[in-house]
Amino acid sequence: MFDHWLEWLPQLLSGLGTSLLLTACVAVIGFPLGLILGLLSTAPNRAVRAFFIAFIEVFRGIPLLAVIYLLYFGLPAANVTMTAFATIIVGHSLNLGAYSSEVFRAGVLHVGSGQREAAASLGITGRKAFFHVVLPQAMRAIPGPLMSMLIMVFQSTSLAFAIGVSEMTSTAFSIGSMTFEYFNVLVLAGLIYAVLCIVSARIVARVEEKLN
Amino acid sequence: MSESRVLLDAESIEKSFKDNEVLKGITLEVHAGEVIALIGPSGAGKSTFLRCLNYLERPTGGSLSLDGEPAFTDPLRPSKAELLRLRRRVGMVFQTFNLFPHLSVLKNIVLAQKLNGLRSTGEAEEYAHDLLRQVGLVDKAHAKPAECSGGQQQRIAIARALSLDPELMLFDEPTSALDPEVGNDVLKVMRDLADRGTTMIVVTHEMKFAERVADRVLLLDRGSILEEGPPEQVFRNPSHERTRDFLQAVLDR
Repeated sequence: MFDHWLEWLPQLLSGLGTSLLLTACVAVIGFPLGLILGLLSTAPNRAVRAFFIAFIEVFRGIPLLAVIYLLYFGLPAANVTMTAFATIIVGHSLNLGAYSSEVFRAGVLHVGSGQREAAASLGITGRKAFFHVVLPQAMRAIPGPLMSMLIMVFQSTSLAFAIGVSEMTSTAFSIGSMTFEYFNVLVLAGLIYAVLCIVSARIVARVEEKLN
Repeated sequence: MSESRVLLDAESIEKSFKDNEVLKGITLEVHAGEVIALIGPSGAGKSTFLRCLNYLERPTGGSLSLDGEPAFTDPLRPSKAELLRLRRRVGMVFQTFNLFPHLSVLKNIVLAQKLNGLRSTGEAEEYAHDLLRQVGLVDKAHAKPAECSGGQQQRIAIARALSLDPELMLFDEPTSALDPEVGNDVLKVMRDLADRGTTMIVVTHEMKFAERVADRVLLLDRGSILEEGPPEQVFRNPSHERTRDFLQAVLDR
């Protein structure tokens, strides 16, 4: 069973490179989006708040694959077309933004009113209080949950397979379709996912321990 | 004392939370250099009144003047600029210290100086060291607040509040969260400040401190001033039955 593994590994690793690149792009767009959504969903203005809460709920409610199909096959009807690669990044980023917004919101709410009051009593309010007092403290509470989400993003980049981006799962599948060793190659791909995820989860746990 | 200028003039300060009237129009003139102790049973409105003086709590009636000038054009709708000016002139120390846990002790004291454009980084750090020396904690400059004891944190909080050179310092039960022996270090710092002529309003349950350090004691009860006068009068010769009851209850503890 293992005799082909070495032979397949280079192809799979190049697929893995694509998976990791997708994950990185999604993190760079999705997390800032999550921060913005998290803040806007607590905005003082009721209409603004309602709009962004609805936005978040919609993107948490629709399965990611459906979002991807909608963007890839649906949007061209509105004359918007994206490459498959871009579609995956946009779809995942919307999804990650919606999910991580809750983490950012909880992180900001976690910073007690005493901190805001102390800042206010020192003439530090508004944006200054947010960036110098609230946000740095919120950030200390959230790297763990955010990194766990990133691991899930990495796993779900395998959905890119559905629209033909050759990341690791689709690479494994095409190797399978040529060699008819589906089981064998998918086990190898699965192992690579698992090793990476377990190692990153360990790192996340370490980082969280350090922060607390 | 009576001839010195009036620093703060709080005129019929009222505060209601919905139907609950917490402050029923409190008037207080504070002279420069004066130390005022606010005492009274819990729920009397002491902290609320104190917090109205720097608008952490927004009064629902009444007005504030600093140095004879109204702090707000419309006390019910303070502008941001007016709030900022008031808070730069009035420092506050909280019961639970509320130091910024993500910053070193030094940076806790530097932050407001810098964000308010008061001093350059170098000057602000130098001043922070001076203030830490005043409260006896210069060796903690690079520690994090969590590495300091409660009493140390409160002294750091005092240094932080002093960093904006406030004309008036508000203390909201500064020793209530501390063990007595640790609290004494904090009270000593406050006594030093009083001796140096700092104008202070202190909400406290420390009757000895009130008696020894305050120029004037105010006893609040149910949102109004029940008793007011020099400490010897309030403590030795109160004019109300309720004052006697309260003092009895406190001293019996």
